[in-house]
Amino acid sequence: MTEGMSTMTDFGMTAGDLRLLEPLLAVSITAALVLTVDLFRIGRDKNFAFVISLLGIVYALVRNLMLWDVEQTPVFGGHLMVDRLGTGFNTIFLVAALFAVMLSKSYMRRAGLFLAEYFVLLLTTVMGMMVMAQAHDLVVLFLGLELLSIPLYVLAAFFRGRKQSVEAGIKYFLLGAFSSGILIYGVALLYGATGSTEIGQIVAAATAGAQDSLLFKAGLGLFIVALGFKIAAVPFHMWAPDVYEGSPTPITAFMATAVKAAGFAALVRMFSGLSGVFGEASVTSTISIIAFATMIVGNLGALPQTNIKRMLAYSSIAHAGYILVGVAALTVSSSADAAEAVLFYLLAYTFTNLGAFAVVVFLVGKKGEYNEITDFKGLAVRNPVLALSMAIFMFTLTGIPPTAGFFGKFFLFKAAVDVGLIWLAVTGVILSVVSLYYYVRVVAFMYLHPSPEEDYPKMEQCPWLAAVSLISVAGILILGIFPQSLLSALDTVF
Amino acid sequence: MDLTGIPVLSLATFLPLLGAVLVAFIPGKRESAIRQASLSVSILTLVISLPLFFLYDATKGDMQFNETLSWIPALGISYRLGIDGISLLLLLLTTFISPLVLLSSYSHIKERVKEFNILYLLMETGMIGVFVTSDLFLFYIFWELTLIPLYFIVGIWGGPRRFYAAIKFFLYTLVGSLLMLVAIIYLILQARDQMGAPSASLFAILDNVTIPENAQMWLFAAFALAFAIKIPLFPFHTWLPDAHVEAPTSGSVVLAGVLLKLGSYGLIRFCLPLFPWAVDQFSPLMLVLAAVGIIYGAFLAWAQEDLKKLVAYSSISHMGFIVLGIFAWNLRGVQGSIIQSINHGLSTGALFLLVGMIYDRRHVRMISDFGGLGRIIPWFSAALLLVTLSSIGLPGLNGFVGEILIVQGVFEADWRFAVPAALGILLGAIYMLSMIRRTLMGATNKPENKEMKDLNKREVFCLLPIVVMIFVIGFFPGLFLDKTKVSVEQNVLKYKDAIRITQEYQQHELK
Repeated sequence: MTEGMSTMTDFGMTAGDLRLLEPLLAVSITAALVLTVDLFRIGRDKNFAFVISLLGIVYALVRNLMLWDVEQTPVFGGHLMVDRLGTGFNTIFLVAALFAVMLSKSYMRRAGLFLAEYFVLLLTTVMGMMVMAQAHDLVVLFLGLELLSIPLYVLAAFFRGRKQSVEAGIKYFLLGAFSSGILIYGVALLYGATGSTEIGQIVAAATAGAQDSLLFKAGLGLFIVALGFKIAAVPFHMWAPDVYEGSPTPITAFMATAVKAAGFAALVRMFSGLSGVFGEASVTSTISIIAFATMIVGNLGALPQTNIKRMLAYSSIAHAGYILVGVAALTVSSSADAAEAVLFYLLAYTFTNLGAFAVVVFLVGKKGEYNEITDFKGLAVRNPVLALSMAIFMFTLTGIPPTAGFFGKFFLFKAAVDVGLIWLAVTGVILSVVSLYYYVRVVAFMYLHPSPEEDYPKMEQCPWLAAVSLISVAGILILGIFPQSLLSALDTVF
Repeated sequence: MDLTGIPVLSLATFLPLLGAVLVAFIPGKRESAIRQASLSVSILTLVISLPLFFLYDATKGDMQFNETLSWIPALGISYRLGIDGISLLLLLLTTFISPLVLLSSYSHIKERVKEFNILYLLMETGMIGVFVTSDLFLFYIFWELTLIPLYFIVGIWGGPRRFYAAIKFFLYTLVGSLLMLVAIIYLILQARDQMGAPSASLFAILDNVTIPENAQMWLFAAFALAFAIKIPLFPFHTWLPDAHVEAPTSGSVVLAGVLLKLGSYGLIRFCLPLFPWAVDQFSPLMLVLAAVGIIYGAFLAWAQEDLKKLVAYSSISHMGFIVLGIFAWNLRGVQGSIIQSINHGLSTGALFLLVGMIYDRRHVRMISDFGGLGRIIPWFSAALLLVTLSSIGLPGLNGFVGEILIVQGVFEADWRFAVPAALGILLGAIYMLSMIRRTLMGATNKPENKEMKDLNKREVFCLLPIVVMIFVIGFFPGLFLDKTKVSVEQNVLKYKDAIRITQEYQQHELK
């Protein structure tokens, strides 16, 4: 208890700390502002919530990018760490949140649930993610995880009238609660093994010999399991397809990208410190096996899907598998390449997935939502630009050059080959071929099939949606043709 | 003419891409404008690439017209262009065939003309890029760039089973090429470990990196699989008949004319020099597969009733020859394979054009639907006969040059494999001539055929350049062989000697 007390007294907060956390504060204040303004506009249109959220996120994004040069600065007495790793991940969260907000406007209006609370919840999740990515203490990490998760349970069930949505919320809540419990138990065990919850001290203790104790291994195992739930790694992925299908589409897109990224942020932070500590490579083989299983289950699961949201859900499991290949490489050697590859991939994936979901949101009509893959029939004839964007998203998900997705995979597999995990890289590329089948099917429906005579979806007229897909296409092509631009920025991260 | 400072290769590579962008801005309804624009772009590309034939210094045989720009320095990946005699000929084949493909598309690409032309020009950039780069990674990018356009060309404008054929082609090729990507990654990292800095430059790796023998096996397997699928070598050939039969004529022409050559070019450019030890180990296997492919393809072609299928299977047989020559692994064999790649591109390309032409007229292509065409459409028949003779290797025409060199090379390497080669030539003559007999000669049994019109002006323009080249290569093979001689010795076979030396050294050590 006395130790706990002493940590409390360390909680020195200076004005400098606040400046360094400005992006986080900006998001919090935006959330509070939306909530407050909402009080005075009961029963009126909630467009203000959209505008304030958008501005707040953009502001946070800009301030966040301006912090790029800050290196390794502990704040709040070392509970949070402002460094390029955190700033890089924050960028991903904020981009994803920005896109999710832009997708939500027309989508939530159509659903008749264009409410201020929706945006508040979304912003709160982003806060949780940012805390998680910058946490340098496992208790703070847990705090971030909860702040991220609880609003997300609500968001998943936001269509309270729809069975599927409520099911998604409950499922996500139950499994999420489990994973939170597992995480805190793991943290307790790690504390028992190393005497600290601070990541730096855990790493130091592990290097000094604690890594061989059963307590430490069990704690780390539970840590992996808990985060495995968040990133939907096999065998902790069961919830993902149902939750992704039932949730509002913008939230699905957000979950598939930002929430995963948050889980990976925690994993990367933990393992970039611990890499090379394990002589017996037991952690490497554990993560390799999880990565292997995740790639297989995700890709094979996506094959028979006929609903585009479910297909993208399984595909997001597969992509978590690819990224885990990078994490596995990271556990072997602390070379910057693996962590760089993970960040590159996540950014590329964020653009791609949000772009793809934007196209899904575009399709509207009498049926309400058009989420079947067959609904894409003949889109190339009716709307060439939208079809071309979707085709680019599908090819970048497959990993065909010259797109960001290709370089993402290339860097990940390169990191794996570099540390001798060639079998994992080979599995990854073979499953990429499998993935071609289900991604190209969407393209085939758009380009190879004629447009149906009637009952085809109309286009939503919303500039924000168009903006999301165009920015995504631009991002994918820029990263795909000039990967060096991002790579040299990332080079300074680690 | 001095070309220093003019990035000819970049121009040739990216002009079609530029053309594709240009065509994208022409409204889709103005079909003839679109067609003219893309045809002009492809002709301009030919005009730009043609002087290279005369300016290339074949006595040196090294990489010339080099261009280098840093692209991803962290991995030693650069935008490296340059051609030697081997790539020169294949580059010219590509720029030569492309205008003909676009011209031939007038008759059968009637819908979504704009998309077709954009896709074709994109693919041309990819194909040219493959031949002009000497950077492993850039090679891979261009290689992949050719996949998507062909997928769409088969999938949109193809026959009844086009969806199946298109996805099958895409999946098959991607399996091979992605494994090759892993091998490329490995090579880049080897270069980093041995040279101190990563590099994807083929020649930097060739000259500075020693690849351990067991690694060579795996790397060779990965590269060779990608190329074997593309060629296609027996037993990886099953996608080809589907793709050929379902593809529109222009798709078949470019597939047979250029795309299959990406595979044989890859074997010569990368597999032979990079992994000589593994080639030494694997060449018996590759020779056997090639020989089986020659015979098997020939028998299948013989059994076909569908003209297009016949040409498709004959392609498998002919590509088997090319692989046989490559793995003979001597000057004659490799030179023969290169020239045969060109020949096969010309003659099989022309055969698909001709089959497409009668299909346009009658909308059938079963051999039994025709007969006695020689009297009805004499010019068409003359062209078909000439191309057939070129394809079966009549002396004086182009096919003879390649076949004789390959057989000689194989004989030098291992005489036993000259037997299936000779048998393949014989079978080729049998099935091709029996096709000629059944279509061009005999009685005109179908009244519909009597109404058929002979070649029109556009079709003559499609065929004439190929016919001219058939004679030029046939009469003056030296013009082309001289271009490749020093390059083959210096960029391919030199590395074969390296393993001989190591092996002798090892034996010496053992003693």
